[in-house]
Parts: sequence; C-alpha cells; structure tokens
Amino acid sequence: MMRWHLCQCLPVDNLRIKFKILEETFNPYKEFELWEKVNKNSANSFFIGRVRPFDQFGNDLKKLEIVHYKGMTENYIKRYLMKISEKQDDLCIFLLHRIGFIYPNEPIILIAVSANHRGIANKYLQEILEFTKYKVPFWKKEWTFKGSSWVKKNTDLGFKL
Amino acid sequence: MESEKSNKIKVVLLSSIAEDLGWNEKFLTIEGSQMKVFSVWNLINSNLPQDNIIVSINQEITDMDAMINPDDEVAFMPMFTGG
Repeated sequence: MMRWHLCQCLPVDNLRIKFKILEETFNPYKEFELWEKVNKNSANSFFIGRVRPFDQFGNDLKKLEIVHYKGMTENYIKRYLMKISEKQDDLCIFLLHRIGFIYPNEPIILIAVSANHRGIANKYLQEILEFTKYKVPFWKKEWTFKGSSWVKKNTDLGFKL
Repeated sequence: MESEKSNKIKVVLLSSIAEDLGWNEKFLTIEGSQMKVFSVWNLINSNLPQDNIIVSINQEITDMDAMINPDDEVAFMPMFTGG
C-alpha cells in the first residue's frame, strides 16, 4: 500500500522556503496541496520526478537507491534556495527529495515554486531542478534482478536550452 | 602547559568510491601541521582514476591542491547524479 505523510518541513529563515530530505515515500499531490494553501501567489509551477521502470542499460529496474552526504547536502540546498529567494522577493519554494530505496514509479523529487508571474515560477523551477541534478551531493544506484550499478551521469534535459 | 593538539583528520568516502575502496570513513594521522588533499588521496587510494572526483574539506567543495589541517574532515566523491 502506498504510504504518504504530510511533510513537517522546517522553514528556512522565513516562510518562503521549505525543504526536506525524506527517507520514506510521499504523496506529492497531498504535499503540494497543503503547501499551496499557505502561499497566496498567483503563478504556481511544480515538477514531480519519478523512478523509471528500467535502468541506464535498458534492463528492468527492481529499485533505485539514493545516497547523500548528510549535512553537506542539506547545507548546499539551503544556501542555494536562500540565494535565489533573495533575488526575487515574491518567490516561494517547496522542495522534497528522497533518499534510500525507491521503487519504480515512486516519486524521487517534488519541486514547487510560486511567484506573481508564470515566467518567474517556471524559470526558477527549471533552475532548481538542474541544481539538484548537478550541484548537490546525491548519488543514484540502480538495482536490477541481476545486480546493481552506480549511475555515472544524469539523463539529458531532453531538449536544448 | 601546552595543550595537546590532535593531528588526526577524518576521511570520508561516498558512493562508488566508498564501494570501490571498501570503507566509508577513517581517521588518519597527518605528519606536520598541514597536508594537501592530493596527498591524502594518494595515501588512501589504490588505483582509482583521479578524473571527475569531487573533494570537500569540512563539507565545502574544494580542489586537490587545498590544504587540510588537523581535525578537518576531507571527503572524496564522484560526480553528483541526483534530482
């Protein structure tokens, strides 16, 4: 049965940023709904990243494992989110990122950004997602029915910026 | 009386590097008051290539030429693959 909980995130310095690293699965829609109730901006963007059912070589995936560097990972995310919220004073950011074992189709990441205008919400949503892929200490290991292997590089963006 | 200073550093390995070398963390004694990150890498490393390795001191990203002081925590990690 799918478990979910409403995340008790610690606000970072002000109520405009919330993030948490989770060891258990979560329901991104419930989390988003709760978060959206407390911010009153008109433009809201959100992204849900889920585990693919196959690994980097095309084999059926049993589960994905994500590890982080406790302390450093949290600090890098916190610092980055504070930096961009200082640039844009109407920005509200909500970020959840899983660690541990995650099964196909379960959520890995939820990013929600709200602002007064859609351009700002979409721009920072994309920027935060790329930041979590390339600038934060997280690593993925893929487990198949034959064994396991570390992911060497992130998947492409899917188009050219 | 002069207080006794530690000359130990903590070395942390992450992800595939920890798996390749078979350990996650160790305390090492350094000779002298400082040591280059690169020298620690040479001390602990068997034959892993140095390319694409990210290093940090006290959880701040730095480079192989940075100096480590006693009581510092130095970490070696592969490229990030989160998100």
